[in-house]
Amino acid sequence: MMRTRSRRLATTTKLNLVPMLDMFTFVLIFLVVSFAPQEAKYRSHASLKLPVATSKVLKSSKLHLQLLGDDLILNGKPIKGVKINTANAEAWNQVKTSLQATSNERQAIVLSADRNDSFGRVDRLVAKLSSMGFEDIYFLAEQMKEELK
Amino acid sequence: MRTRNRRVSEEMEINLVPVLDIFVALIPFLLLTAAFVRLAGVSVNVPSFATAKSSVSSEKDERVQLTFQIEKGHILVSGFTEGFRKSVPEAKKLFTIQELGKLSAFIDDLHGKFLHLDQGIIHADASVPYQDVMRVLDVLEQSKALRGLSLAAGGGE
Repeated sequence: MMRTRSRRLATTTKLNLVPMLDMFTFVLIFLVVSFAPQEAKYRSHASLKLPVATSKVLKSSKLHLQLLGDDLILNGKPIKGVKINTANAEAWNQVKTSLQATSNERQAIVLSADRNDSFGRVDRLVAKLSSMGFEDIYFLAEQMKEELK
Repeated sequence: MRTRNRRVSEEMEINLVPVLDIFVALIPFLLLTAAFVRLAGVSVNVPSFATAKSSVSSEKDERVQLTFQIEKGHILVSGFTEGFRKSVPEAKKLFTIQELGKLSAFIDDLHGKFLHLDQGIIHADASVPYQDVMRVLDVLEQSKALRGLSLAAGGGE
């Protein structure tokens, strides 16, 4: 007679690391994107060199306007058909429409311009923005470590 | 026949290939969100004609409003009270663009003398480089003596 012996097989629980690492990856991506510095929002054109300033306050705004030569770039997209020096009323209306389409409120506009550009071009743009109702302008600059003497 | 149960020990091996794939996918995210240059800036108010007209102070206002006329290489500081009707001789001075430290000290000195400094109004010539205007704006913003900064935009003419 065969003696059967019930055996209790010892089972060891193995921890499957693969789905756990997948979740950690998703969490890591979420943290990287949500805690990204504010500077990451303002991507300037490669050829645009910002002026330097010692101010440490960085304003947040939905409207980032770049003045590249005679061209205007709003939030990374060029506003076609608008040249600062030769723009007529219709072109400026187009700029106004683009700005109001991005933000309904009278928000501050973060303005980037090249440091070697003449102020006249910036002045013309700022004057037009003011006439459209955008009176709060934030001139973007690179932070300089040394204080002005 | 005697069978012998063998417990075959299995070694847990981590497959590194998908882990490295995920890390490679993370690199573009990090590049997009990394800040290689620290940004800063200066906030100015650019009033339209209607807003500027309504904000002109009355004759009885004793607050000193400073105007900064920036031309190539020079900054002319002027002071006015009573809604630009009366000039303040002590506030008039000429600086070069290299004397921004002295400009800052001068404004602090005026603040100590007059106590009530209103907004600073900046007007720059069209030919002045943008960097020079930004340097002046930066110095003025850092000086806590002024209530705010306004830019008198002339339209680039």
